[in-house]
Formats: sequence, C-alpha cells, structure tokens
Amino acid sequence: MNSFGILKREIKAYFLNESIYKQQLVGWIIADTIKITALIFVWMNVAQTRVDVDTSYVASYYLLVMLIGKIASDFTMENGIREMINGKFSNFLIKPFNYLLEYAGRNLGNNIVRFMLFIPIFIIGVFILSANNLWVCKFNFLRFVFFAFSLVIAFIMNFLLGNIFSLPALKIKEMDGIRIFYYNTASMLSGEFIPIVFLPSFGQYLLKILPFRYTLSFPVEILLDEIDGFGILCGFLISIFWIVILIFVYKVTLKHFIKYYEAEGI
Amino acid sequence: MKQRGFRNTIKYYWRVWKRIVRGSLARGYIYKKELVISIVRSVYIVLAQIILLNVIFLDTQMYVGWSKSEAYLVIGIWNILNYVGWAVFGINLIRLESSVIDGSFDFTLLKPISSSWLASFGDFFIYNLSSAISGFVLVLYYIVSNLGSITLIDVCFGLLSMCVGFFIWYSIFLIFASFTVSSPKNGLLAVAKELLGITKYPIDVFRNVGDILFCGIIPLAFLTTVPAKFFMGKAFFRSIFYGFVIGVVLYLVAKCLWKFNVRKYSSTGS
Repeated sequence: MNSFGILKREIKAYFLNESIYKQQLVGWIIADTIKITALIFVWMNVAQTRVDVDTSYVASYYLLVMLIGKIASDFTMENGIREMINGKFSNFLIKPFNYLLEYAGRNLGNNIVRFMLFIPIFIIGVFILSANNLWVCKFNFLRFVFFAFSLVIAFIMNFLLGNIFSLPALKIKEMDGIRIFYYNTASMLSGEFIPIVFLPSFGQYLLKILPFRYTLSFPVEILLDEIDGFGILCGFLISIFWIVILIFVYKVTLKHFIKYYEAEGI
Repeated sequence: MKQRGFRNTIKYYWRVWKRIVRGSLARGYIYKKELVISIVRSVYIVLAQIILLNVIFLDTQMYVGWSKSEAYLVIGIWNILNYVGWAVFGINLIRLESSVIDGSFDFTLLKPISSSWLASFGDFFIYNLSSAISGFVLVLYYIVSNLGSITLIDVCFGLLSMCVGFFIWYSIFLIFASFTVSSPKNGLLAVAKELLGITKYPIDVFRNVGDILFCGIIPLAFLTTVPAKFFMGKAFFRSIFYGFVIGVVLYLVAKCLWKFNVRKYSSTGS
C-alpha cells in the first residue's frame, strides 16, 4: 500500500476512534468558545479606542479563528509526548511506514470530527454576528481558493512545529514546561492572543516573518480581505520557506534525540 | 464503589501534605532542566503580558475603567492564583481522568484518607509554583508604583481576598472534576479551565453581561477583580464575607457531587 493509502486508512481509523468520545470533543469546543468569546470582548473594547480597527472585524476575525483552529490543529504535543514517555512510541518505529503518517492521520481524523461538531456553533455565530452587523466576511471565489491553500499550509506548519517541539520527550521525561511554553508562544505569535492588526508596525513586521502567523492568522486575513494580492503572495512565499526550514530542523532534531530513546515505559 | 472510612483531622492532612511537598522537591532536584525551563517560562509570561497590556493601552490611558497599572494588578493576581492552583491541585485533578481510565483510582479509594483530598492534593508540582513568580512581580509592580496611595490594610484585605478567591477556584474545579470519576473523557475540565482563564481580565470587559454572570451566576468576579479592588482600596470588607460564603457553598456542593460520582464509579482497568 502506498503512503496515501495508509494515510487514508489512518484518518478513517482515528475518525472512528475520536467519534466515540463526542462528549469530550463537545466539551473542548465549548471551552474553546468560552476562550474566544472572552477575547472578542477584550479586543472589541480595544477597537472602540482605535480608529484603524473596526469592532465588526474583531468579531468576524475570532469566529474564523475558531474555525481554523478546528481544521488545522496538531495534537502531537499531547499524544505524541505521552507515547514517547510511556514507550508506546516504539510501536510506531517498528511499523513498515514513517510514524509521521500515523500522526498525520490521527490529527486529520480528529480535526474532521471537531470540525463537524463545530459547524452548528459556527452557523449560530455567523447568525448572531450578522444580526448585530458584526459579520464582515464576503464570499469571493478567488480568495476562497487562496484561503483553502493557506489552510493546507497552516496544518502542515502546525504539524511540523508540534512534532519538532515534542521530540525532546525522547530524552527529557518531564515535558510539561516545554509543552506549555510552546502553547504560550504559539498563541501569542499566531494572532490568537493578539490580532495582528492591533500591533504597531514593527510588531506586525516581526509576526509576518515568523512562522506562527501562518498557522492561524494568515488564512483568516485572506478571507476577511485584510491583505492584498501582493501580501498574499509574500505570505505564501514566506510560509513555504518556513516549511522547508522546519522539515530540515525536524530531521536534525529527530536524528539527535532518537539516540537517547530507551522506551523504558514498556 | 464505596470508599473506606478515613481520618479527618486537619493536623493529619497537613502532615501528609508536607510529605507530598517534600517528595516533589526531591523530584524537582532530579528534573533540574524542567525547573530552569519553568523559570524561563515565567519571565516569558511576564514579557508576553506586558506586550499584551501595552498593545491594549496603545491609544488610551484607561481601558474599561481600569488604568494600566491596575490591569497589571489583575493579571498579576490571576498569575498567582492560576499557577499556585496548578501546582497544588490543578494538575492532580486533570490527571484524575487517566487514573480513572487505567483503574489506579481504586487505590485512591482504598487509602485511609479522603478520596477528594487525595485526588486533589496527591502530588505537588514545583515547576508551576515557580511560574507564579510572574504574578508576584506584577502585583509588586502595582504596589511599588502606587506606594503613596496604597495602605497596609488594603494589602492585607487584598491578600485575604485572594485566599478566598483561591478557595472558590478550587471548589469550582472540584465540581467539574467530580464528574470525571463516573464519566471520564467528558471535556468538563477543559470548560472549567477556560472559565477560570477568562478571569485574567477585569469583569468590566464583559460590560453588563459580566456583572450579572460573574457576580451572580458563576462567581468568577471574586477570583481576581474583587481582590484587585481591595488592593486599590475600592472594595468593602463584606465582599470577602460574601466570597467566603459562596466558597463554602460551592465546596459543599463539590463534596456532594464527588460522593455522588464515586458511588457511580465502576473500576475498569484494575
């Protein structure tokens, strides 16, 4: 079976597996909705003090951030680390295909279930925002194509970043600090905690050249017509550059840490 | 499943907890790198929060009626409660789920000690406690920058109010965690985590909704906003009393729910 066939089977297997725990997924979606609703209130209040940002943009931005979060998330920092520490990671190493295929399948299967469960909340959200004149997203086919492409990039970058940051678990057994440090950094620099439009120009420039923006904020900016054609092109070039760099970093990191793996949990 | 009878003197629990903390400190010595990372993380947290507040106050002196140093105070209090909470009981209650699934919760029930206490305080996480330094730095910043107007009584009431907030925080977390015993993988702890997460902002952010929701229905205002108002000298002593009463009620509800869910618990993994 080729890699694509294996990936398809993995996605199906994990989709069915995750579907068993629908209650937990609903809980996570409610938790995420609470967090994002709080951020909407925080930044809508800030937008009222600014002339360059509209409150409707903030509300639409965060509703779309929630949507992207359901499609492009990576769970390696949770499941992967646990398996590396308890020794189950060995099972993936002896399989006749790269363990990343299994991890990718798990992420995609999980994301599909979460996305499907989130659709009703998203529709209700759009309805509420539209009723209050806060929904500013207009459908444009070309932008939607760019958005879909940026979504694929967002998933790949999240996946690579998650895998790179979880690899130290092959050596370090207490990973909570690194894991939380990664989550804090990602939420800070991806545009989740602070939308990029609120930052001063230097901050915006910094976020544009770092990889985290392309894991969350960039697809939303495309869909909300926040960036022009040149900005989209630059965004794609920077994100593809980062994917190449991250693949290289992943390979070097794996080569280094796999030497320390002892599977002592088995 | 029925739990064994257990001792309930405060002195006994204090002695057990001291041993738990001692064991944790010894473990912290083994994982020195993790400790260093958590201290670096606390510096990073302060930097991130300073950036956040600077962005919020970029074009304005006041934000929903709060000045920048007052906003630092609220976030500082939240950091202290959050990271001390994680160190003392938060991670234990999050890990309750895996112990229920793999059956090791049986051992918690068999021990001659309150199961809710052991599930909450059975381990101590020094790494999270070191992250609470970020909170102390921010609170200290507020005290130093308002040294002329702040009184010792304000600080004492503020600290007392934080203790009440911590008690409420624990009770809410225990309510949500108790359902894990009878029905693991329910996602309720993630909801609790985010509910408590929103208290890093003053409740005025949520306009009228905040007053009704967080003072009446879910008493989250008592966690950070009320202690901050004590430090600012803008709250009355009766708020501490109300907070304490709410905490006691929530704790009793949590204990009832815990007992109810333990009765429904059936061991699977052992």
